[in-house]
Amino acid sequence: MAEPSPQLIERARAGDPAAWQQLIEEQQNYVYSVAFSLMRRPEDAADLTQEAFLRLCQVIGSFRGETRFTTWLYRLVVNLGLDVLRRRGRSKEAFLDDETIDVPDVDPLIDPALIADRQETAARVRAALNELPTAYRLALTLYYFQELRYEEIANVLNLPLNTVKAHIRRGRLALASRLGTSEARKAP
Amino acid sequence: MTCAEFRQRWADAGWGASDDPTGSATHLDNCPSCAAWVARQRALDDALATALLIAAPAELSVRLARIPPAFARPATESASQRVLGFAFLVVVALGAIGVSGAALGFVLGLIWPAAADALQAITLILDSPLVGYYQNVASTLLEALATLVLAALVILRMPPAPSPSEGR
Repeated sequence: MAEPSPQLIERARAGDPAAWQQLIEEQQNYVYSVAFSLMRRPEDAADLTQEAFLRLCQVIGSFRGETRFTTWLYRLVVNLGLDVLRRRGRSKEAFLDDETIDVPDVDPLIDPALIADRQETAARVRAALNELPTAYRLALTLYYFQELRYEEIANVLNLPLNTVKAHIRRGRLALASRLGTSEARKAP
Repeated sequence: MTCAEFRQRWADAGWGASDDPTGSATHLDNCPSCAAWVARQRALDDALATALLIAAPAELSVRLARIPPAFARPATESASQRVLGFAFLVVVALGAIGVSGAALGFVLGLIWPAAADALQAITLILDSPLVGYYQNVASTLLEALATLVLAALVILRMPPAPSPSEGR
């Protein structure tokens, strides 16, 4: 994904309407996808996305460029989403720390036919993703979006680095397994 | 390096890892099994990357377009700038207090002699014999007025005289 240019961010911070709209247009799909990973329901994801952009325009002045803008933005989205879920009665730990899944200790194999039809693949992967715990979905979403590094994902999710690595590794395995592409072939 | 070590390192490296994430290109070049494994990982990555990005609904885009940039705040200052700003405000406030006090003293200095003269004049007037005379006149007039009011009340409350027909 395209990290917004520093010039665009600066203009948006200064209240330039055109820059602000451009920033929203560039980021809305990514923010919505993160929100969807967290909330699971489209309407909740849409509400969270809107809330995130409203919040963004209040706090964008505090962005100092110490991290990538998108990392900072996703952290804002995740924190807002966790607040929403907390108000609904579940703790953050219930989402990000305690969830575990059973995954086969196998190498994920991808059938070339699987990726021949990207639309169908996307639908199948999304269905499989929906069965994963929130932490895995979020970690995978952040990992694949703009190739966030493990450290950045750990920063966004406020989780230990090793936890993030484990979430991504196990999430990939679980997805491969649920997509029916796994093969019990261990490394020699 | 064993295949297991290579795959563990490959997985640990994450993004930013190219074909040689951990200096293990030699193993990859010489191990068809791991080369195929890496190809499968990338196929899975490709499938996931495609699936995980979800387009925002059009209705949401309309809602987002309505968010005005008016909320946008200018960049906040650094800590040192905040300290300097606070110090400046303190200096300005102290200066304002000093100027206000000086101005108040100046005004009072101008007004006070005249006010003292006025108070002295009022005291002299109150001590004058004419004041006692006018006080006596006022109290006499007040007493006369009260007497008239009482007399009027007595007259109004007297019972009416009986008519001639009532005597028979």
